[in-house]
Amino acid sequence: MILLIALAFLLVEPLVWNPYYNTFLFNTLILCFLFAYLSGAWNILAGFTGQTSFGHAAFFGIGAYTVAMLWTVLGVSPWIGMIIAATIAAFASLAVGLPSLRLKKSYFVMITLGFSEILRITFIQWHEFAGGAGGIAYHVIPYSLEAFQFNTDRTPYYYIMLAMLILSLLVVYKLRRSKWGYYFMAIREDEIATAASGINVIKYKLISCALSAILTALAGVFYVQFFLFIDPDTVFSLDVMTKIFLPTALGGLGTLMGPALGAFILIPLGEIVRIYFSTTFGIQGLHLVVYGIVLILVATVMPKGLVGTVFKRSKRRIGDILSRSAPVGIPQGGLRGLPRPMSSSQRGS
Amino acid sequence: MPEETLLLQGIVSGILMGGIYILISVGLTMIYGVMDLVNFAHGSFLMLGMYSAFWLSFLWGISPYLSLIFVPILFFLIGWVIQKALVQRVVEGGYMLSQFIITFGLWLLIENTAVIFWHHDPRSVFQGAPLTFDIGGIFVTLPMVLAFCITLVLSVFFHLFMTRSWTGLALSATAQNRDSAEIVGMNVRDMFALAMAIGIAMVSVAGVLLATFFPITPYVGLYFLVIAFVVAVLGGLGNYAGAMFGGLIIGFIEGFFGVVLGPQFKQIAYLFVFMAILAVRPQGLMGRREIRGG
Repeated sequence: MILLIALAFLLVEPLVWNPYYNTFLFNTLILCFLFAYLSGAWNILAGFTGQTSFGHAAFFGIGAYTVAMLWTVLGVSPWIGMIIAATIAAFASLAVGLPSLRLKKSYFVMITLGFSEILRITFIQWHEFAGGAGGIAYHVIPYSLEAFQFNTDRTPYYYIMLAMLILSLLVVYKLRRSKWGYYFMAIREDEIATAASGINVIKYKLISCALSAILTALAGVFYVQFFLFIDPDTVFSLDVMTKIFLPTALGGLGTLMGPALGAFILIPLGEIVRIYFSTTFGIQGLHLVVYGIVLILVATVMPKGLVGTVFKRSKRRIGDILSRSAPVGIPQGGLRGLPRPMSSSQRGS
Repeated sequence: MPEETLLLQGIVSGILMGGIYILISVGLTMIYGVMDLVNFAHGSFLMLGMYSAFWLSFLWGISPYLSLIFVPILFFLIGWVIQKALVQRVVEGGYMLSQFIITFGLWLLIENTAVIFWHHDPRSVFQGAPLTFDIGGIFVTLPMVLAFCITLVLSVFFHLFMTRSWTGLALSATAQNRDSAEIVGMNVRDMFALAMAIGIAMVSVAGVLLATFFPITPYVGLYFLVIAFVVAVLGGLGNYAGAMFGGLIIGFIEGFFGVVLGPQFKQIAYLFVFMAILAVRPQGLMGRREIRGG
């Protein structure tokens, strides 16, 4: 019920308030949607499949840069560029994942972080390729669907991102009860047992990784179309990477609503801190300090995140959706699709 | 400059830099070896080490080489305290993610506090051109050579410590098998703290030495952290001798490919090395431990 009210509010917001130029709310909500979406994408790999990645900014940046370069250099429509960007991101994720997903999780974390950072440095240094440190700036087109730019009236951006968020939540919702979802969660819980059950662990890890990367890249596409400017320090940065995983860490790893919950708390908090302190005191980066403190607190005090700790397992439907938290054992909804254990009467004497 | 000299110059500079890589990576690999923890804050401590050297020199005129006497002691204590106060909570049992995010959070905290207080502008300890030697057409600067020599000396002492002293052996034992170490009576919790303390102390030495020739900004952490990852994995995560060889090798690779491919591809060179190691020989040059399977 609360969700429906919130949804109704979100659907109506730009129509009601934006005409009064409350652009802070408008932009902050878009950012909330963006990072709720991104965190959800990250959650697929890290929360459901258990493979933590600190390199998702790389896929985000690949999405942004691919579309930006195709558009500014070749005039390719961002909608087509989006498909190409998703493909490149998928291949990049496979390239990174193939050697490292067979190994302990620590190795995967390190190489993803390394990949992202090396991409950032390379893009900064390689002036001829993508503008180097100067980045890519768009010519501002007033309003065009084919060019995916809406600058006279920015409302479509809002609905597009909201739609992306809702779709991603639906994807996760269906994923959890699907064969893939069960395989992912099984891999997270016990890889050896999963492999012993005949499931190709590395294949599903890679599927999860590619899926996560594709979704992340799509968000990168939105980003560049919305902000009309990117550079390596914006899209491949630690700032973005933190905002991708912190909402899930806070909200609850492996849950449906955890990332969104975390995003709606952390993004406004971060924005308010950032804007207030940089305009009043000229202090940069305080929001990241706050995020760091939140991370440390989450790690020590609330590892299961808000959803896991605060919303206890309950029989009610909303509680049911919200209280999925890692580690998830047998899904509360039942074992559809999995072989049923034999009852004692079937087992014989 | 003729081609071969340029290449040789690149290689020599790379190897000299490799000394710093050794110091950073030995600390990182030891922390992983003993505690199974990837210390994402490692780069921030490097950065703090650099700034320590800077402020000591700028405010009180203390030469970095002199500050090498007491800065590591200070960082040793810092490392110990951080382990006991924070890291210990997530090291035994607990979620894997918690282990990753606690040092990540620490990194964010340290790096951005540094940005707030010390701003982005690069600093350096020594002003003006460094003293440069011309050795058969190859130019080397005094700070880099000194840093390398100090690294060599420290490496020897470290190796002796790890192999000849009871404490060093105890650390190795804890790294090999935590439970057995506890059974024979070692204080494993203290070993954890010791590993972190030594690791942080070493990276602070690296920071002080690095400050003598590398621009000091709050953001150096991540750059060197990634290199440390590659070096540590190349050498075998947990194996400090491997980290020493790895440091030199990566320094060489960076220098070599920096000249052959161009400076903007130095990082790609070691990204490929990283991926190749993981694909072909994940345990690194000298690793022994089981590393397969999430």
